[in-house]
Amino acid sequence: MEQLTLTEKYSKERYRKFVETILDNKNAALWPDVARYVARLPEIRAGQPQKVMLVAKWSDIVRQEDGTFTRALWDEHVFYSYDVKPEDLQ
Amino acid sequence: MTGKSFVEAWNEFFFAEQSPIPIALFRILYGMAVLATLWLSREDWIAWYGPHAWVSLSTMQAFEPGPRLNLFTVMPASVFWVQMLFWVFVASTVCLTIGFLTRLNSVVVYVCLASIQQRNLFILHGGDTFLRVAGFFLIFSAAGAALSVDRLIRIWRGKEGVEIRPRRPWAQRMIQFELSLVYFVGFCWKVAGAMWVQGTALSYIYRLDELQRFPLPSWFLNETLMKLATWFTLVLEFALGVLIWIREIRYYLLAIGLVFHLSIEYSMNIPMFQWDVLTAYVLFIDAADLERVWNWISNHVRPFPGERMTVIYDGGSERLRRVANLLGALDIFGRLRITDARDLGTPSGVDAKAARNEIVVVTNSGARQGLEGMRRVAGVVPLMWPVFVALSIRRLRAS
Repeated sequence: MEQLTLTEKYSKERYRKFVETILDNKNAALWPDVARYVARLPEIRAGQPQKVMLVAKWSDIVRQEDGTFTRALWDEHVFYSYDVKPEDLQ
Repeated sequence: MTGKSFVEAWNEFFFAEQSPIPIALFRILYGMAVLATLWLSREDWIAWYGPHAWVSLSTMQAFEPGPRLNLFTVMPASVFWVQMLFWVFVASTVCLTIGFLTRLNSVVVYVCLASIQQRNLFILHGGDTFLRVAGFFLIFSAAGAALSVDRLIRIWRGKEGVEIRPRRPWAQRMIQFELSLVYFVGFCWKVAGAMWVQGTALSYIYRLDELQRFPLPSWFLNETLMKLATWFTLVLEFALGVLIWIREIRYYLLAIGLVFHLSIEYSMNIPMFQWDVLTAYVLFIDAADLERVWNWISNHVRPFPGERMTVIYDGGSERLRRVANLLGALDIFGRLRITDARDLGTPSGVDAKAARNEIVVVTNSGARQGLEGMRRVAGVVPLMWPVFVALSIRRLRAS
Protein backbone atom coordinates (compact mmCIF):
# COMPACT_ATOMS: atom_id res chain seq x y z
CA MET A 1 0.00 0.00 0.00
CA GLU A 2 2.86 2.36 0.86
CA GLN A 3 4.13 2.18 -2.74
CA LEU A 4 0.82 3.16 -4.36
CA THR A 5 -0.17 6.67 -5.37
CA LEU A 6 -2.83 8.41 -3.28
CA THR A 7 -5.51 7.64 -5.85
CA GLU A 8 -4.51 3.99 -6.18
CA LYS A 9 -4.33 3.66 -2.43
CA TYR A 10 -7.91 4.93 -2.14
CA SER A 11 -9.33 2.50 -4.68
CA LYS A 12 -7.21 -0.50 -3.60
CA GLU A 13 -7.77 -0.23 0.15
CA ARG A 14 -9.81 -3.42 0.15
CA TYR A 15 -6.58 -5.31 -0.59
CA ARG A 16 -5.08 -3.99 2.65
CA LYS A 17 -8.19 -5.10 4.49
CA PHE A 18 -8.04 -8.51 2.83
CA VAL A 19 -4.37 -9.00 3.73
CA GLU A 20 -5.22 -8.09 7.33
CA THR A 21 -7.83 -10.86 7.23
CA ILE A 22 -5.67 -13.59 5.75
CA LEU A 23 -2.85 -12.92 8.23
CA ASP A 24 -5.21 -14.12 10.96
CA ASN A 25 -4.74 -17.86 11.56
CA LYS A 26 -8.45 -18.36 12.14
CA ASN A 27 -8.95 -17.56 8.46
CA ALA A 28 -6.46 -20.22 7.29
CA ALA A 29 -9.19 -21.77 5.15
CA LEU A 30 -8.72 -18.81 2.79
CA TRP A 31 -5.05 -19.52 2.11
CA PRO A 32 -5.46 -22.19 -0.63
CA ASP A 33 -7.82 -19.89 -2.58
CA VAL A 34 -5.37 -17.02 -2.29
CA ALA A 35 -2.45 -19.18 -3.40
CA ARG A 36 -4.41 -20.46 -6.41
CA TYR A 37 -5.38 -16.90 -7.37
CA VAL A 38 -1.72 -15.85 -7.23
CA ALA A 39 -0.69 -18.84 -9.36
CA ARG A 40 -3.31 -17.89 -11.97
CA LEU A 41 -2.13 -14.27 -12.31
CA PRO A 42 -1.06 -13.98 -15.97
CA GLU A 43 2.57 -13.01 -15.29
CA ILE A 44 3.01 -15.87 -12.80
CA ARG A 45 1.04 -18.48 -14.74
CA ALA A 46 3.33 -17.80 -17.72
CA GLY A 47 6.29 -19.01 -15.63
CA GLN A 48 4.59 -22.36 -14.84
CA PRO A 49 4.65 -21.96 -11.03
CA GLN A 50 5.26 -25.08 -8.92
CA LYS A 51 4.76 -23.61 -5.49
CA VAL A 52 3.18 -20.47 -4.03
CA MET A 53 4.34 -19.23 -0.64
CA LEU A 54 2.46 -16.62 1.36
CA VAL A 55 4.85 -14.44 3.33
CA ALA A 56 4.00 -12.09 6.18
CA LYS A 57 6.23 -9.04 6.63
CA TRP A 58 5.95 -6.84 9.65
CA SER A 59 7.64 -4.20 11.73
CA ASP A 60 6.52 -3.43 15.27
CA ILE A 61 5.80 0.12 16.42
CA VAL A 62 7.60 0.41 19.74
CA ARG A 63 6.74 2.97 22.40
CA GLN A 64 9.86 4.34 24.09
CA GLU A 65 10.05 5.24 27.74
CA ASP A 66 10.08 8.95 26.86
CA GLY A 67 6.70 8.56 25.13
CA THR A 68 8.04 8.66 21.56
CA PHE A 69 7.51 5.86 19.06
CA THR A 70 10.05 4.09 16.86
CA ARG A 71 9.95 1.39 14.22
CA ALA A 72 11.56 -1.97 14.95
CA LEU A 73 13.39 -3.82 12.16
CA TRP A 74 11.32 -5.55 9.50
CA ASP A 75 10.73 -9.26 10.04
CA GLU A 76 9.11 -11.89 7.85
CA HIS A 77 8.00 -15.50 7.80
CA VAL A 78 6.34 -17.88 5.38
CA PHE A 79 2.96 -18.72 6.84
CA TYR A 80 1.65 -20.90 4.04
CA SER A 81 3.04 -22.94 1.19
CA TYR A 82 0.92 -24.39 -1.60
CA ASP A 83 1.91 -26.92 -4.27
CA VAL A 84 0.32 -25.79 -7.51
CA LYS A 85 -1.65 -28.47 -9.35
CA PRO A 86 -2.02 -28.45 -13.15
CA GLU A 87 -5.79 -27.98 -12.84
CA ASP A 88 -5.23 -24.81 -10.81
CA LEU A 89 -3.86 -23.16 -13.94
CA GLN A 90 -6.78 -24.15 -16.20
CA MET B 1 -43.71 8.23 32.44
CA THR B 2 -46.95 6.23 32.54
CA GLY B 3 -47.59 3.26 30.28
CA LYS B 4 -50.08 5.29 28.27
CA SER B 5 -47.78 8.25 27.76
CA PHE B 6 -44.99 5.87 26.76
CA VAL B 7 -47.19 4.37 24.07
CA GLU B 8 -48.18 7.84 22.91
CA ALA B 9 -44.55 8.97 22.79
CA TRP B 10 -43.63 5.79 20.90
CA ASN B 11 -46.37 6.34 18.33
CA GLU B 12 -45.48 10.00 17.99
CA PHE B 13 -41.81 9.18 17.45
CA PHE B 14 -42.29 6.44 14.86
CA PHE B 15 -45.64 7.18 13.24
CA ALA B 16 -46.53 10.89 13.52
CA GLU B 17 -46.42 12.10 9.93
CA GLN B 18 -43.62 14.46 8.99
CA SER B 19 -42.00 15.90 5.89
CA PRO B 20 -40.28 13.24 3.75
CA ILE B 21 -37.60 15.71 2.61
CA PRO B 22 -34.86 14.43 5.01
CA ILE B 23 -35.31 10.81 3.89
CA ALA B 24 -35.48 11.93 0.24
CA LEU B 25 -32.23 13.85 0.66
CA PHE B 26 -30.73 10.81 2.36
CA ARG B 27 -31.81 8.68 -0.64
CA ILE B 28 -29.83 10.96 -2.96
CA LEU B 29 -26.72 10.97 -0.75
CA TYR B 30 -27.03 7.22 -0.17
CA GLY B 31 -27.23 6.57 -3.92
CA MET B 32 -24.15 8.71 -4.49
CA ALA B 33 -22.24 6.82 -1.78
CA VAL B 34 -23.17 3.45 -3.32
CA LEU B 35 -22.21 4.68 -6.79
CA ALA B 36 -18.85 5.95 -5.51
CA THR B 37 -18.22 2.61 -3.81
CA LEU B 38 -18.96 0.75 -7.04
CA TRP B 39 -16.83 3.18 -9.07
CA LEU B 40 -13.86 2.78 -6.74
CA SER B 41 -13.92 -1.02 -7.02
CA ARG B 42 -14.74 -1.20 -10.75
CA GLU B 43 -11.27 -2.48 -11.74
CA ASP B 44 -11.56 -5.31 -9.23
CA TRP B 45 -15.12 -6.54 -9.78
CA ILE B 46 -13.88 -9.75 -11.35
CA ALA B 47 -10.92 -10.14 -8.97
CA TRP B 48 -13.21 -10.04 -5.92
CA TYR B 49 -16.45 -11.50 -7.28
CA GLY B 50 -15.61 -13.38 -10.49
CA PRO B 51 -15.70 -17.16 -10.99
CA HIS B 52 -11.98 -17.40 -10.08
CA ALA B 53 -11.91 -14.70 -7.42
CA TRP B 54 -9.49 -14.32 -4.51
CA VAL B 55 -12.02 -16.19 -2.38
CA SER B 56 -14.06 -18.89 -4.09
CA LEU B 57 -17.82 -19.05 -3.62
CA SER B 58 -17.54 -22.49 -1.99
CA THR B 59 -14.98 -21.22 0.55
CA MET B 60 -17.21 -18.25 1.36
CA GLN B 61 -20.18 -20.56 1.86
CA ALA B 62 -18.10 -22.71 4.22
CA PHE B 63 -17.47 -19.61 6.34
CA GLU B 64 -21.12 -18.55 6.16
CA PRO B 65 -23.20 -21.73 5.89
CA GLY B 66 -26.95 -21.73 5.47
CA PRO B 67 -29.28 -19.72 3.25
CA ARG B 68 -28.04 -16.21 2.46
CA LEU B 69 -29.27 -13.36 0.31
CA ASN B 70 -26.65 -13.88 -2.37
CA LEU B 71 -27.40 -13.76 -6.10
CA PHE B 72 -23.99 -15.31 -6.85
CA THR B 73 -25.32 -18.65 -5.61
CA VAL B 74 -28.12 -18.72 -8.18
CA MET B 75 -26.60 -17.11 -11.25
CA PRO B 76 -24.21 -18.79 -13.69
CA ALA B 77 -20.56 -18.55 -12.60
CA SER B 78 -19.11 -16.56 -15.48
CA VAL B 79 -17.41 -13.21 -15.99
CA PHE B 80 -20.27 -12.09 -18.22
CA TRP B 81 -22.91 -12.64 -15.54
CA VAL B 82 -20.84 -10.96 -12.85
CA GLN B 83 -20.41 -7.90 -15.05
CA MET B 84 -24.12 -7.93 -15.87
CA LEU B 85 -24.94 -7.97 -12.17
CA PHE B 86 -22.73 -4.96 -11.57
CA TRP B 87 -24.11 -2.96 -14.48
CA VAL B 88 -27.67 -3.68 -13.34
CA PHE B 89 -26.55 -2.61 -9.86
CA VAL B 90 -25.10 0.66 -11.23
CA ALA B 91 -28.20 1.42 -13.35
CA SER B 92 -30.52 0.69 -10.47
CA THR B 93 -28.49 2.88 -8.12
CA VAL B 94 -28.67 5.77 -10.60
CA CYS B 95 -32.47 5.32 -10.76
CA LEU B 96 -32.69 5.20 -6.97
CA THR B 97 -30.60 8.38 -6.68
CA ILE B 98 -32.86 10.34 -9.01
CA GLY B 99 -35.92 8.73 -7.46
CA PHE B 100 -37.24 6.86 -10.49
CA LEU B 101 -39.26 3.75 -9.58
CA THR B 102 -37.84 4.34 -6.12
CA ARG B 103 -39.38 1.39 -4.29
CA LEU B 104 -38.42 -1.15 -6.95
CA ASN B 105 -34.89 0.20 -7.28
CA SER B 106 -34.35 0.33 -3.54
CA VAL B 107 -35.12 -3.42 -3.49
CA VAL B 108 -32.75 -4.11 -6.42
CA VAL B 109 -29.96 -2.02 -4.86
CA TYR B 110 -30.38 -3.76 -1.52
CA VAL B 111 -30.32 -7.25 -3.05
CA CYS B 112 -27.25 -6.44 -5.19
CA LEU B 113 -25.45 -4.82 -2.26
CA ALA B 114 -26.24 -7.71 0.08
CA SER B 115 -25.07 -10.15 -2.61
CA ILE B 116 -21.67 -8.60 -3.22
CA GLN B 117 -21.09 -8.22 0.50
CA GLN B 118 -22.10 -11.82 1.14
CA ARG B 119 -19.85 -12.95 -1.72
CA ASN B 120 -16.80 -11.62 0.12
CA LEU B 121 -17.18 -10.55 3.73
CA PHE B 122 -13.45 -10.18 4.26
CA ILE B 123 -13.02 -6.88 2.45
CA LEU B 124 -15.78 -4.89 4.13
CA HIS B 125 -15.57 -1.97 6.53
CA GLY B 126 -18.21 -0.53 8.84
CA GLY B 127 -19.40 1.89 6.16
CA ASP B 128 -20.28 -1.00 3.83
CA THR B 129 -22.32 -2.67 6.55
CA PHE B 130 -24.02 0.63 7.34
CA LEU B 131 -25.03 1.03 3.69
CA ARG B 132 -26.47 -2.48 3.60
CA VAL B 133 -28.58 -2.10 6.74
CA ALA B 134 -29.69 1.43 5.80
CA GLY B 135 -30.56 0.10 2.33
CA PHE B 136 -32.92 -2.41 3.90
CA PHE B 137 -34.88 0.26 5.76
CA LEU B 138 -34.80 2.55 2.75
CA ILE B 139 -37.05 0.02 1.00
CA PHE B 140 -39.84 0.73 3.48
CA SER B 141 -39.33 4.48 3.69
CA ALA B 142 -41.01 7.34 1.85
CA ALA B 143 -37.73 8.06 0.04
CA GLY B 144 -39.48 8.68 -3.27
CA ALA B 145 -42.07 11.05 -1.84
CA ALA B 146 -39.97 14.16 -2.50
CA LEU B 147 -37.06 15.32 -4.69
CA SER B 148 -37.75 12.47 -7.10
CA VAL B 149 -38.77 11.70 -10.65
CA ASP B 150 -41.55 9.58 -9.17
CA ARG B 151 -43.05 12.71 -7.62
CA LEU B 152 -42.90 14.56 -10.94
CA ILE B 153 -44.69 11.66 -12.58
CA ARG B 154 -47.35 11.68 -9.88
CA ILE B 155 -47.83 15.43 -10.35
CA TRP B 156 -48.06 15.00 -14.11
CA ARG B 157 -50.69 12.31 -13.66
CA GLY B 158 -52.64 14.61 -11.36
CA LYS B 159 -52.25 12.34 -8.34
CA GLU B 160 -50.33 14.93 -6.35
CA GLY B 161 -50.14 18.72 -6.07
CA VAL B 162 -47.21 21.04 -5.44
CA GLU B 163 -47.39 20.53 -1.67
CA ILE B 164 -45.35 17.58 -0.40
CA ARG B 165 -47.54 15.32 1.67
CA PRO B 166 -46.15 14.30 5.11
CA ARG B 167 -45.41 10.60 5.68
CA ARG B 168 -44.79 8.21 8.56
CA PRO B 169 -41.09 8.28 9.44
CA TRP B 170 -40.62 4.88 11.10
CA ALA B 171 -38.12 3.60 8.51
CA GLN B 172 -36.17 6.86 8.76
CA ARG B 173 -36.09 6.43 12.53
CA MET B 174 -34.61 2.94 12.11
CA ILE B 175 -31.77 4.35 9.99
CA GLN B 176 -31.22 7.05 12.61
CA PHE B 177 -31.02 4.32 15.26
CA GLU B 178 -28.58 2.44 13.09
CA LEU B 179 -26.29 5.46 12.91
CA SER B 180 -26.38 6.02 16.65
CA LEU B 181 -25.67 2.30 17.17
CA VAL B 182 -22.63 2.52 14.88
CA TYR B 183 -21.17 5.13 17.20
CA PHE B 184 -22.26 3.52 20.45
CA VAL B 185 -20.97 0.06 19.52
CA GLY B 186 -17.73 1.67 18.31
CA PHE B 187 -17.44 3.35 21.71
CA CYS B 188 -18.11 0.05 23.55
CA TRP B 189 -15.46 -1.83 21.54
CA LYS B 190 -12.91 0.89 22.07
CA VAL B 191 -13.33 1.20 25.84
CA ALA B 192 -12.81 -2.56 26.09
CA GLY B 193 -9.28 -2.04 24.69
CA ALA B 194 -6.47 -0.90 26.98
CA MET B 195 -4.84 1.38 24.40
CA TRP B 196 -7.98 3.50 24.01
CA VAL B 197 -8.41 3.89 27.75
CA GLN B 198 -4.69 4.68 28.25
CA GLY B 199 -4.85 7.17 25.39
CA THR B 200 -2.17 5.62 23.18
CA ALA B 201 -4.42 4.13 20.47
CA LEU B 202 -4.17 7.01 17.97
CA SER B 203 -0.40 7.20 18.44
CA TYR B 204 -0.18 3.69 17.00
CA ILE B 205 -2.84 4.18 14.34
CA TYR B 206 -1.21 7.33 12.93
CA ARG B 207 2.08 5.46 12.62
CA LEU B 208 0.68 2.68 10.45
CA ASP B 209 2.14 3.57 7.06
CA GLU B 210 -0.53 1.74 5.09
CA LEU B 211 -3.33 3.78 6.71
CA GLN B 212 -1.74 7.19 6.22
CA ARG B 213 -3.15 9.59 3.69
CA PHE B 214 -2.28 13.29 3.64
CA PRO B 215 0.55 14.33 5.98
CA LEU B 216 -0.11 15.62 9.49
CA PRO B 217 2.05 18.29 11.14
CA SER B 218 4.64 16.71 13.44
CA TRP B 219 3.44 18.74 16.45
CA PHE B 220 0.05 17.01 16.16
CA LEU B 221 1.71 13.64 16.77
CA ASN B 222 3.10 14.55 20.18
CA GLU B 223 2.09 12.33 23.05
CA THR B 224 -0.18 14.75 24.89
CA LEU B 225 -2.20 15.74 21.83
CA MET B 226 -2.51 12.12 20.75
CA LYS B 227 -3.85 11.18 24.17
CA LEU B 228 -6.35 14.04 24.08
CA ALA B 229 -7.40 13.07 20.55
CA THR B 230 -7.85 9.43 21.60
CA TRP B 231 -10.04 10.32 24.57
CA PHE B 232 -11.92 12.92 22.55
CA THR B 233 -12.77 10.16 20.04
CA LEU B 234 -14.25 8.08 22.87
CA VAL B 235 -16.29 10.99 24.22
CA LEU B 236 -17.54 11.98 20.78
CA GLU B 237 -18.54 8.42 19.82
CA PHE B 238 -20.49 8.10 23.06
CA ALA B 239 -22.14 11.49 22.50
CA LEU B 240 -23.07 10.72 18.89
CA GLY B 241 -24.38 7.33 19.98
CA VAL B 242 -26.47 8.47 22.93
CA LEU B 243 -26.72 12.24 23.34
CA ILE B 244 -27.63 12.87 19.70
CA TRP B 245 -31.24 12.14 20.62
CA ILE B 246 -31.35 15.30 22.75
CA ARG B 247 -32.73 17.91 20.40
CA GLU B 248 -31.10 20.93 22.12
CA ILE B 249 -27.52 19.72 21.54
CA ARG B 250 -28.04 17.71 18.36
CA TYR B 251 -26.82 20.27 15.84
CA TYR B 252 -23.67 21.00 17.86
CA LEU B 253 -22.88 17.28 17.95
CA LEU B 254 -23.55 16.91 14.23
CA ALA B 255 -21.23 19.84 13.48
CA ILE B 256 -18.46 18.36 15.64
CA GLY B 257 -19.07 14.93 14.08
CA LEU B 258 -18.79 16.44 10.61
CA VAL B 259 -15.42 18.03 11.39
CA PHE B 260 -14.30 14.78 13.07
CA HIS B 261 -15.10 12.67 9.99
CA LEU B 262 -13.59 15.17 7.55
CA SER B 263 -10.38 15.21 9.58
CA ILE B 264 -10.24 11.40 9.43
CA GLU B 265 -10.94 11.57 5.68
CA TYR B 266 -7.95 13.91 5.36
CA SER B 267 -5.53 11.99 7.52
CA MET B 268 -6.43 8.31 7.09
CA ASN B 269 -6.97 6.10 4.08
CA ILE B 270 -10.34 4.53 4.88
CA PRO B 271 -12.19 5.01 1.58
CA MET B 272 -15.85 5.98 1.72
CA PHE B 273 -16.37 5.16 5.42
CA GLN B 274 -16.67 8.80 6.44
CA TRP B 275 -19.01 9.64 3.55
CA ASP B 276 -21.17 6.54 4.15
CA VAL B 277 -21.73 7.58 7.75
CA LEU B 278 -22.17 11.28 7.00
CA THR B 279 -25.01 10.56 4.55
CA ALA B 280 -27.26 9.75 7.51
CA TYR B 281 -26.57 13.02 9.33
CA VAL B 282 -29.22 14.66 7.16
CA LEU B 283 -31.84 12.45 8.82
CA PHE B 284 -31.22 14.25 12.11
CA ILE B 285 -31.98 17.66 10.65
CA ASP B 286 -35.54 18.94 10.93
CA ALA B 287 -37.27 19.42 7.59
CA ALA B 288 -38.08 23.02 8.57
CA ASP B 289 -34.38 23.74 9.11
CA LEU B 290 -33.49 22.06 5.81
CA GLU B 291 -36.05 24.32 4.18
CA ARG B 292 -34.50 27.39 5.83
CA VAL B 293 -31.05 26.41 4.57
CA TRP B 294 -32.44 25.79 1.10
CA ASN B 295 -34.21 29.15 1.08
CA TRP B 296 -30.95 30.84 2.02
CA ILE B 297 -29.15 29.06 -0.83
CA SER B 298 -31.87 29.79 -3.37
CA ASN B 299 -32.02 33.46 -2.33
CA HIS B 300 -28.34 33.69 -3.17
CA VAL B 301 -28.59 31.64 -6.37
CA ARG B 302 -31.84 33.21 -7.64
CA PRO B 303 -30.27 36.27 -9.32
CA PHE B 304 -27.89 34.22 -11.47
CA PRO B 305 -29.83 32.21 -14.08
CA GLY B 306 -31.48 35.32 -15.56
CA GLU B 307 -34.71 37.26 -15.06
CA ARG B 308 -37.61 35.91 -12.98
CA MET B 309 -40.66 35.06 -15.00
CA THR B 310 -44.36 34.93 -14.47
CA VAL B 311 -46.11 31.82 -15.68
CA ILE B 312 -49.86 32.16 -16.21
CA TYR B 313 -52.09 29.15 -16.69
CA ASP B 314 -55.79 28.58 -16.92
CA GLY B 315 -56.65 26.84 -13.65
CA GLY B 316 -59.88 25.63 -15.21
CA SER B 317 -57.89 23.27 -17.42
CA GLU B 318 -56.83 20.05 -15.71
CA ARG B 319 -53.92 19.65 -18.14
CA LEU B 320 -52.59 23.17 -17.64
CA ARG B 321 -52.94 22.86 -13.88
CA ARG B 322 -50.77 19.76 -14.00
CA VAL B 323 -48.19 21.50 -16.18
CA ALA B 324 -48.14 24.41 -13.74
CA ASN B 325 -47.72 22.04 -10.77
CA LEU B 326 -44.91 20.27 -12.59
CA LEU B 327 -43.15 23.57 -13.26
CA GLY B 328 -43.63 24.51 -9.60
CA ALA B 329 -41.99 21.27 -8.48
CA LEU B 330 -39.08 21.66 -10.91
CA ASP B 331 -38.49 25.30 -9.99
CA ILE B 332 -36.33 24.56 -6.94
CA PHE B 333 -34.74 28.03 -6.88
CA GLY B 334 -38.04 29.91 -7.03
CA ARG B 335 -37.39 31.46 -10.44
CA LEU B 336 -41.03 31.41 -11.49
CA ARG B 337 -44.16 33.16 -10.26
CA ILE B 338 -46.91 30.75 -11.18
CA THR B 339 -50.35 32.32 -11.31
CA ASP B 340 -53.83 31.12 -12.17
CA ALA B 341 -55.23 33.26 -15.05
CA ARG B 342 -58.60 33.24 -13.31
CA ASP B 343 -57.04 35.33 -10.55
CA LEU B 344 -55.02 37.60 -12.80
CA GLY B 345 -56.82 37.81 -16.14
CA THR B 346 -55.16 37.48 -19.53
CA PRO B 347 -52.19 39.85 -19.90
CA SER B 348 -52.17 42.36 -22.75
CA GLY B 349 -50.68 41.12 -25.99
CA VAL B 350 -51.79 37.53 -25.35
CA ASP B 351 -54.46 35.80 -27.34
CA ALA B 352 -57.12 35.02 -24.71
CA LYS B 353 -58.32 31.93 -26.55
CA ALA B 354 -54.80 30.56 -26.86
CA ALA B 355 -54.19 31.25 -23.16
CA ARG B 356 -56.91 28.76 -22.35
CA ASN B 357 -54.93 26.02 -24.12
CA GLU B 358 -51.33 26.92 -23.34
CA ILE B 359 -49.35 28.38 -20.49
CA VAL B 360 -48.30 31.98 -20.95
CA VAL B 361 -44.86 33.13 -19.92
CA VAL B 362 -44.45 36.82 -19.21
CA THR B 363 -40.89 38.06 -19.60
CA ASN B 364 -39.42 41.57 -19.63
CA SER B 365 -39.56 41.49 -23.42
CA GLY B 366 -43.20 40.49 -23.57
CA ALA B 367 -45.45 37.45 -23.31
CA ARG B 368 -44.57 34.11 -24.89
CA GLN B 369 -46.68 31.03 -25.46
CA GLY B 370 -46.23 27.49 -26.69
CA LEU B 371 -42.81 25.96 -27.15
CA GLU B 372 -41.07 29.33 -27.14
CA GLY B 373 -42.65 30.10 -23.76
CA MET B 374 -41.53 26.70 -22.48
CA ARG B 375 -38.02 27.31 -23.82
CA ARG B 376 -37.82 30.62 -21.94
CA VAL B 377 -38.99 28.93 -18.73
CA ALA B 378 -36.51 26.05 -19.18
CA GLY B 379 -33.70 28.57 -19.53
CA VAL B 380 -34.15 29.92 -16.00
CA VAL B 381 -34.99 26.66 -14.20
CA PRO B 382 -31.75 24.67 -13.78
CA LEU B 383 -33.49 21.28 -13.60
CA MET B 384 -34.97 22.05 -17.05
CA TRP B 385 -31.74 23.05 -18.77
CA PRO B 386 -31.64 19.83 -20.85
CA VAL B 387 -35.11 20.82 -22.15
CA PHE B 388 -33.80 24.33 -22.86
CA VAL B 389 -30.92 22.90 -24.91
CA ALA B 390 -33.25 20.56 -26.84
CA LEU B 391 -35.77 23.32 -27.60
CA SER B 392 -33.01 25.76 -28.58
CA ILE B 393 -31.57 23.24 -31.06
CA ARG B 394 -35.07 22.67 -32.43
CA ARG B 395 -35.54 26.43 -32.82
CA LEU B 396 -32.19 26.83 -34.60
CA ARG B 397 -33.05 24.05 -37.05
CA ALA B 398 -36.44 25.58 -37.76
CA SER B 399 -35.03 29.05 -38.47
